[in-house]
Amino acid sequence: MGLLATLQTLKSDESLMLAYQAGKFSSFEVLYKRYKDSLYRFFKYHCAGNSQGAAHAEDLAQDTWAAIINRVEHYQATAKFKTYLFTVARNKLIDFYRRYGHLENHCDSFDDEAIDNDRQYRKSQPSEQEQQLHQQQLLRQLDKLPIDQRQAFILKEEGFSVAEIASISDVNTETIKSRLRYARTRLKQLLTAAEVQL
Amino acid sequence: MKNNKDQLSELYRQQAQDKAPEQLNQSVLNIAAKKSEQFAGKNTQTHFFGQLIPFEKSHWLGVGSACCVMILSLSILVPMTQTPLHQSQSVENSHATVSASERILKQRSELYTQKTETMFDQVMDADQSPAIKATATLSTAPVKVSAQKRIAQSQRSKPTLSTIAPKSRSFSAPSNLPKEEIATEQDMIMSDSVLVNPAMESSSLADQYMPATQSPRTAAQWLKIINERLAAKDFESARLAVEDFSRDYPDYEQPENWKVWLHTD
Repeated sequence: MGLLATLQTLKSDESLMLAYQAGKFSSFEVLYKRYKDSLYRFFKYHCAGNSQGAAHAEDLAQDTWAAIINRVEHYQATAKFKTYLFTVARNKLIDFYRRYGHLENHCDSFDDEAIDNDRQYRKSQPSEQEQQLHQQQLLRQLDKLPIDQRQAFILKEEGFSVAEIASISDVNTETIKSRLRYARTRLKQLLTAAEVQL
Repeated sequence: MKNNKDQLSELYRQQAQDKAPEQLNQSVLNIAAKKSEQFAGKNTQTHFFGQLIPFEKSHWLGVGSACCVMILSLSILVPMTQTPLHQSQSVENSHATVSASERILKQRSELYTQKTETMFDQVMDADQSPAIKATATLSTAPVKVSAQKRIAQSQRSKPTLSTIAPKSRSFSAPSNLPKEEIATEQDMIMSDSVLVNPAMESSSLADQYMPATQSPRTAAQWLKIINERLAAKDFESARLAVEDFSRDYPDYEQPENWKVWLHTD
């Protein structure tokens, strides 16, 4: 890695974005490498219960990055770029759920019905698929969380602070803390139920 | 609760290792590159010499600012420098004129100094060697010609300027040269002295006294001149006139009062 590239990696997200705004493509490359995987995971784990989840995640990630690129002229370094990026991502996700009706189908609270449905789902799957699901129990159970709790949990595990998640979700920090608490409790129950089942 | 949190985080780190597909990366970077080119097209204006040097807007702003500063500087400096320039030119011209006149004056001064020295030497040697005097006169012939011309000019303005100073009389008498040459030499000396000291032009003695060699006078004229000198109490001039009169008319017996007043014995 050259000295210039090393210096680029040391720059803040905001300065890289401003440099890209000035026409430096290399700045965007550095920025993209920082967040491409976390953004992709954000979408993929939201769509974990969908057989086309990976494809949806890829589309949503591209839409999000395209929105960032197309609005780069209007970008102002008033907030963290990471927060800005995932706010756009969240909006894209909401649009996606509204478009395909998934938003209403997800329960907003923990209930036994969800666990039962999950058990029925896993019983119907082949053993090879069961093995894969076993390996990714957590991610599989994420799909059973309400979307706000799932979103808060994923962002928190991707390294965001409570304040940043609150900013992205456009709610206060106490709400995010509550969502995180509910999400962890639910996941624990789901994982325990899954282990029992397995 | 804390254990639950840590376990879930650890589980997430273990399982959540999905990376963005390469196809997605290429797609996003292509979009970004196209956008970057659009920015470059907007921000870049080609150089008018033929797209050799791409200039960004910021560069043009810098060049424009520099040009503005230069124009402002010139607009301030040019009026300040123009006047002194003209003045210096006129000063130079005046210096040139002054130096030219100084050169001429210096040349003339040197010429006069040389001539004066030559004449002085000639006067000093006149009594000893008339031959040397003649040679000196010949050697200064060009000077003599110019001096004669100046004398002629001054004679036109002041007819009596050609009269000789009393001192010149002292070496005119013993000279063995022809009278005309002596007279010319005397005129030259007179003219040079007049040029060196213009105050001599207004001398009443020079105006009134006429040497016998140039215009011989009758005895009555001499007597009249001498009496006028005596009446004016100009005894020196009167004495010289008496001497000349006595030389022209040696048989004329001088009156006693002349001898008393003028000591011409």
